Amino acid sequence: MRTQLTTRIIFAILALAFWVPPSFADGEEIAPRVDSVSFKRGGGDSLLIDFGLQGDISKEIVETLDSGLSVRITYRARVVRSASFFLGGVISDREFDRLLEKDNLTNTYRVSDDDGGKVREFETLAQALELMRTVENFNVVPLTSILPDQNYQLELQVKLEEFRLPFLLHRFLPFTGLWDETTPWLVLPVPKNISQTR
Amino acid sequence: MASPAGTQKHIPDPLRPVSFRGAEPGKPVAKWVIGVLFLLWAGLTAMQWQLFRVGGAESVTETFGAFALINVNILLLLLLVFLTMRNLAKLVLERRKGILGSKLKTRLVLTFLAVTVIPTFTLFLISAGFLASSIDGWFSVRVDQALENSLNIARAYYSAEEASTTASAKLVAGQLAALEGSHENNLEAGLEELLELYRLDAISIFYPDGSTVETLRPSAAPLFVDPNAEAIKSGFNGEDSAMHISQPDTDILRSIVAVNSPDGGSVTAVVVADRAISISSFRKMQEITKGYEEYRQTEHLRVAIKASYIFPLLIVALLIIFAGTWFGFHLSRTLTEPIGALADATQRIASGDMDFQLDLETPDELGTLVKSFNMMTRDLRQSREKVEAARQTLTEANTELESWRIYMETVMDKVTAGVVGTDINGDITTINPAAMEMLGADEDVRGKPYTEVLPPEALGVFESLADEKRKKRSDFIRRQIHLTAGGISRTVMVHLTTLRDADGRASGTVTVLNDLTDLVKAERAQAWREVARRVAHEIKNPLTPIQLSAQRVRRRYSDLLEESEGDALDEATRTIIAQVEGLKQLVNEFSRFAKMPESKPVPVDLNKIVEEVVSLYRPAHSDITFQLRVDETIPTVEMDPEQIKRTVVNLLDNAVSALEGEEHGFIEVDTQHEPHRQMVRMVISDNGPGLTPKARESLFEPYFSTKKGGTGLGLSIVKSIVADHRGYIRAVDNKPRGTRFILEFPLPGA
Repeated sequence: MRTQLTTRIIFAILALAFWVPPSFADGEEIAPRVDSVSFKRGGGDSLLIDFGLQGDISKEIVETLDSGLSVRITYRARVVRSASFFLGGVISDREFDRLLEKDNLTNTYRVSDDDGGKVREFETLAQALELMRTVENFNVVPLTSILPDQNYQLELQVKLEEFRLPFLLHRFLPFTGLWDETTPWLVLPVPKNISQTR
Repeated sequence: MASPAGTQKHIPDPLRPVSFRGAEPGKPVAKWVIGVLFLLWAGLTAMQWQLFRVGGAESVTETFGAFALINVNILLLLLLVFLTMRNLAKLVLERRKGILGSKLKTRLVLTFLAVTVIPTFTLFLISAGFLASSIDGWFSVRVDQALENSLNIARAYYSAEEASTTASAKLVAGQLAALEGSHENNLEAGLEELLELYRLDAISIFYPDGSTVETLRPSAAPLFVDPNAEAIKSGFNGEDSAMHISQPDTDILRSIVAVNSPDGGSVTAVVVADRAISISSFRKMQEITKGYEEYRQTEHLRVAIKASYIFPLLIVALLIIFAGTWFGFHLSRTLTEPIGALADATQRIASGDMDFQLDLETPDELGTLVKSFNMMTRDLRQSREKVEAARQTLTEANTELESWRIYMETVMDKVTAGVVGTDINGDITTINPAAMEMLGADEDVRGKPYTEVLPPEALGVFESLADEKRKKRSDFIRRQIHLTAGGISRTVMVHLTTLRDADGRASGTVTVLNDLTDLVKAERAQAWREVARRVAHEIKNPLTPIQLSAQRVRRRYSDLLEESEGDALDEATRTIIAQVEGLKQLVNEFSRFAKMPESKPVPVDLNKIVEEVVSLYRPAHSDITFQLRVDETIPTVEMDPEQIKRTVVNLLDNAVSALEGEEHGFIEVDTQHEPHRQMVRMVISDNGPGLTPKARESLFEPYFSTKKGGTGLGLSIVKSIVADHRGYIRAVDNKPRGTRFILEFPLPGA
């Protein structure tokens, strides 16, 4: 009887030790969300989309950029075929990152894509954030993968990557100004005639 | 060699050692587990401290390692907390149960807790506050402002350099048309002049047709980098730009400006002006920027940094507290366990278990105490063994005495002689059943004065004996007396002996009473038999001649004498003959008495004999009620049937004679079996007039008879027959009336 009680207590201690408390976020902000999505055909028969990011990203970004740290936003798009049973599923899942940095010496902001694209410099944070909120010509799937007689859905999500402390201290140390903001998936039907439009 | 506490030596009984912790299996294991946990925790804490102190990059391995390290540390800390709390809970329980040593243990643990907790937490709080204030001091307004100003200065310097470069580039662009006119064939020479004029290190002119003109200082040649095509393209689009090019040995500020046509409608060329910045200046600007950024990062992580310093400090504080608590437990255990073992050993000794010894050899006072205790136990055990041996001897002696006493009591109970012991005060201390019967005592008279117990008629005799003994100054006197008690007269030989102790002082008197009644009666009977034998011998011989002579006289002279004389003669001779016949019968009775035939016992059924005899009397004496009650359990008895019949006949004759003239005559014959006494009994009772005490006294003597015409030999013969069968006959009063004859015969083997 005593052994069982001791085992339970040790188990409880183990569970408590490995429990990771949730992150803290202070202040009431408008949750970010994906908006203003438009579909278009791109050269080379690709399905391109434009969309924007609405809502507050985070006020701590200013402090982070002033500290010389970068802010990374990941844009993710999935195309899912709507069909029953095994015929359905994800036919495309793509994402790219956009990195926002501040040069404190020149007091300018730089936005760069992870695909090695050009680096754009801005004089103000607002200009840089405007670019961060706007995505154009995101190639989500080849149009050849879109069959005219099938239904497809586009799922979009934007994730403002979590700011990390060394040694994962942000996991269990409170009051360290964290964020881990991820928009809910925005699900839209892919226009059926998109593959036939020229 | 000292053996550690917790081990148990097995040495043969009776010296069975008891170690302090032998009775608690598993406890040493728990102790080792806790020790290992403690060391592990301390080691991991040190590693963690080192990691926090060093900081470092955020690699996956380090992150995971730190995460695991912290969690394992927390786990170990919680385990230690749990085990310590468990020990504390056990201590509370022990204290509630009142276990010996728990109070001392509590006091020690609390003392160590107080000694460790108060200074440690005080130190922790002061250190944590100092750390917090020190870290906060890093982020003071002055530092913040200074860094901000430094950054602003750096920015201003950089901006100024950039603006100057841009301005120089624009000036070059503005003078380009004039320069092309004046140095038509040697534009580079003109640019060199401008290079010197505007402190530039390189000037490049790009024309829409793709041609370029470059001028640069010889020292800047290795640093020169071709302009970015994209930037040149932007310049042709009318977009001016500035950029910073970082080189290993220097840094270059580059401005790109467009040269518009005089009408301002198109871009005729793009001017790229480079100015090298002093490496030291730019590095300092970068360091200022980096310092500012690190300061901001650190400020952002202020709480984390505080925690990273305070957390190990807290762990160290807890380490000290747990170490102190644990040491308190350990110290209290080292003190209380021997004390508890001693107490337990004391209780076991008190309960009688002395066959063990405590197993502890330490050089301190506890070791001395344990040695003394073991010595005391050994002494006690040896003493106990001696006492046990003495007790055993006493028990055996007592058993022997008890056996002897039981034997003596049995002897006293069975002996026919009466024994009465009195103390110096005359109180009876011992009396056996025979003496009680002789003295007519119905109850246990032990403790009573003999004067109350003796019958009044015997009291005088005994006191006269005592007086005589005193007068003779003798310790012993013997006298045959006639003692009547309970209605029975006895001839008793009294032996009066004074008892003396080892010092010769009188301690009491023992009186032995030998009932000589039967002996006297037997002697008397024997005398009578002798008399009878002689009388029969002397009388029987002349009787026949007398009878024959009388018959002859009657025959010869009866006819010779006249009728009257003849009648007289006839009557006389007849009388002589009749009396002689009577004398013959008397002589024959004497002869039978004197010469009782030897009994020939055979197995017989006593009940059958009795039934046969009683059946003969019933029809002959219809006025008397005969009641026969036989015990069917009577076994076969070794008896002479003829003599037993004669005995029953004699007794029934006496009973019938006693009932002559009595109305409602009643004779009862009982047979009884008493297995525990191994005897059979026959009782013949009547409701006649009974016997007087004198008659009862001489009842079985020859020639004593209460019957008219009785010879007085019947009961003598009965007694003789009974005696021949090793039996006993006595006559008692029948209640409410009459006489009761009781005959008792032993069974074979009795």
